[in-house]
Amino acid sequence: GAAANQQLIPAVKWCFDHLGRKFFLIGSDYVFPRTANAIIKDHLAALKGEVLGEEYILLGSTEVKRVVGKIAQTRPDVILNTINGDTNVSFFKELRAAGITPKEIPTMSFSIAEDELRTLGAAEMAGDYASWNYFQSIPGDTNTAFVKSFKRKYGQQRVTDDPMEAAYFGVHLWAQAVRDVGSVDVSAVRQAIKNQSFNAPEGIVYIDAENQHTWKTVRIGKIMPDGQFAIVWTSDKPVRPVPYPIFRLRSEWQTFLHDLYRGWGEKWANPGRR
Amino acid sequence: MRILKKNSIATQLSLWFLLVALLPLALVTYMTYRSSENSLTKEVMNSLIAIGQRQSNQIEAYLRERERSVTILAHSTAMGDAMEKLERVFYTKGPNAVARPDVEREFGPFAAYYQEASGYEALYLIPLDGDIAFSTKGGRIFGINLRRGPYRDSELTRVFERSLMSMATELSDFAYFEPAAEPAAFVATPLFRGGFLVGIVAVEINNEEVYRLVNDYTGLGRTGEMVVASKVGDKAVFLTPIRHDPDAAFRRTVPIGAKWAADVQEAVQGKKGSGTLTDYRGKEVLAIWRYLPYLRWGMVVKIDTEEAFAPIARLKILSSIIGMLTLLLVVLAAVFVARSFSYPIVRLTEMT
Repeated sequence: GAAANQQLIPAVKWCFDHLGRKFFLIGSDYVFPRTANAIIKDHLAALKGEVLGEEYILLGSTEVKRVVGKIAQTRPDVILNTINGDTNVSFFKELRAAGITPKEIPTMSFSIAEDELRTLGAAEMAGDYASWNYFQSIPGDTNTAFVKSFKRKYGQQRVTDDPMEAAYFGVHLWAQAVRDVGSVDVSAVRQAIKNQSFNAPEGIVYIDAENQHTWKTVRIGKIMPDGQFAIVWTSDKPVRPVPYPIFRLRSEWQTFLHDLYRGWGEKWANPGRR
Repeated sequence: MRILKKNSIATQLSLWFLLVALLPLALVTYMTYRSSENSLTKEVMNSLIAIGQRQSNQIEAYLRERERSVTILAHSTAMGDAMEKLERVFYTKGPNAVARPDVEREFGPFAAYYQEASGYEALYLIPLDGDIAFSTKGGRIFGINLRRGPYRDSELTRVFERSLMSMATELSDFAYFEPAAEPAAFVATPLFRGGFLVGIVAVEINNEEVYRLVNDYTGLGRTGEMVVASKVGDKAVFLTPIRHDPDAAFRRTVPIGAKWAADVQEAVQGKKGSGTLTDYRGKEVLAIWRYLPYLRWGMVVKIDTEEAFAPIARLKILSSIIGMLTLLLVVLAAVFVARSFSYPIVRLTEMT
């Protein structure tokens, strides 16, 4: 996956510049949304943006009425959505039922890609946004060949998306490292994977030797009625991964994560009422 | 008839002796030659990989150090204060306000010292609107708006925008920068004051140090060299002077898809590899190549096979001489032994 500066942060800045300065943060109640929103809040504070609300829904829950009510009441310029999985179906259904369309209050999602749109209904979602490193609509020979091969193997109705592409190039990078050391030994491969590069469907990716995250190109896409994304912004080159965003010290981010983990009874998701 | 018989036995014995002696010898010589060639190729490749690793590590360490230095600078209170004062004067009283020299007198010496001590060409303070509010280069670039002015397509503008988008320290590509009248790259990082983003601090670096690293031929013999190139459209463009072409920088190109210089083509497309191929001069070379993400460079380290395989060529000549001498000795010995065997048999046959 992407580091914060390769997905969240550029998306927030793009929304701030193009959609408005008042934000509503909504996410599933586990480590990624909680951390993402901590980063987003720091970022918006630095930009002098406004957070009108921050709400979490238990993983897998369909209880979204209260949260949508708050959005309808506060009327933000944009919703930043880190909801995971099927909760999205209930959330967007409720959002539309409340009369909130992308034209009025657009949503920028961080976990909705082409494959999810098949379930959510592209027509209902058209006009909203997502931030990823890969979209099926990326032009170029490498991606065209990738999409063609995928459809040939899995069916013409299937679509490619960011997590699939990341898995695809991840295997290639691993294979290159294995070829270099002539072994599948984990510690040998971990060393050899540093500095590996690959011409992936999204563009050139590269494993950073310092933190072993991947250099990736950042993109923001607008959902189209056909279930594809129109790319509205792209970084002009692959972005170096910065695992700990600039707003706090690394030790502060580690304390933040530790406190979340402890607070949830040594789990990475809110277990809910027991 | 007798002469024929005598010759036939001696000839047959000689031929068999030759076969028995020379076949294993030829096989052993061939296998030794191939094994030496493989060992030498592996050795040269390992040496090229080590040199490539050393050079790329040095380039990356240099650039990473530049990034760290600017990131630390941006965290100093002096920078945030200077940006605030400059911005206030710049936007309330105009770029040529009388108050501006006061701010520059206060901040200028520190900025100039930092720039010189760190080996940068210039230091810029750029508020969020993109106006260059301060430059150690002085009036030449001061006050120009990056988004609307003459440098809107420059690497300085790109790195300014990218740093604002990613909220991280960013490095630009090397490209010709008109105010510097030479290729330059920029490092930019967000600047905060009181927790609020107030702009970008950027430094300009020239390509001297990177040229020096690229043109270090230690361990590369007479013909070895390092090539760095980047992909521009459908071409790989050489970025620095190189050993065999001092005028290569920004002039020599290789079309993507050409049948030569596959090393450069693959490297600029993010591929890593090694092998024997024809280089940009049409010469056969042993090469290793890889991608350097900081500057989006493809890097090739190579050496002419003629030089790399010189020991093999010497081994080939030596093996040929030894082979010829051995052949001569074996022929003589075979004829002598065959005759010494055949003669008593022929004599005995004659007597009976």
